[in-house]
Amino acid sequence: MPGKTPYEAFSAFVTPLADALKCVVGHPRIEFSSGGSAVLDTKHNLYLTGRHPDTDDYLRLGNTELELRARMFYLIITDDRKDYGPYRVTTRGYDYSVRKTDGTKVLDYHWHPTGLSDETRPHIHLGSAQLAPDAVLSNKQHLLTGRVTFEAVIRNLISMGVPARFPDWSDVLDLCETPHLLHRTWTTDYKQEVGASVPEDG
Amino acid sequence: MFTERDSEQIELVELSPEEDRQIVEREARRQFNMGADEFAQRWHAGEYRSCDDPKVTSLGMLLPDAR
Repeated sequence: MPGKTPYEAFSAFVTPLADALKCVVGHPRIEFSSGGSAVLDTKHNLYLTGRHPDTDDYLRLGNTELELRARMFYLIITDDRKDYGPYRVTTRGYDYSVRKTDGTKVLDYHWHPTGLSDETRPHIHLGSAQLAPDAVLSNKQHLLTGRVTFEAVIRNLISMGVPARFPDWSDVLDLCETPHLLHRTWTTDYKQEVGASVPEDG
Repeated sequence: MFTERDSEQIELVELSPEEDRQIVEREARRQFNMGADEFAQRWHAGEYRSCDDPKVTSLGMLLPDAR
């Protein structure tokens, strides 16, 4: 999302995410790493569900047995392209984790384009709560997904039984998601953004 | 139309570098029974290369220089 200043770009990035989170969480407290609203070209961490040391940073969702821990990783960069700058936030990974209140994992949405894993594309890991001992799938398998928006994660949570806080939650999520869909520069292969891959429409 | 949703404040908090580090420290202790520095050292030494364990990648993503 573009902005005239680094802070404006950061704000344009965070606000729709917060609005999406509010569909299932009241009065969210969102935290970000030091310098995360101003410092350029540095990886920053966004803790969408805050810190909760007693629950491994997971946040209980309504009266359900489900908990969410949502983190994103991003850079604030300059971008000279029309409608993309002069500053914008570019996402450099996400870790959305859903577990039950007893601590067993349900689903991890991962994208870690750098680092040590061989899998740099967006994927999910199925958690032990969803796997039988003789299951074909395992927790360590990377099930490719394409880029998953935070709004899609919230939609999935609501479909799993998490109560939506607003009757028009679906419209809200659509509105939150639209700026991201308009401005994102890749959908399945982030290398498109840096010119190291062929664009999907090219 | 002004709604209850619009009136809700978002609490947006910038962490100190120490608070950020504490998140990694706590998670490294809980998941791997080691400190953040030891995990970071092993990570940067490539010990977790090609590791498929989502717990490792979750923690690795938090490192300040993992970009």
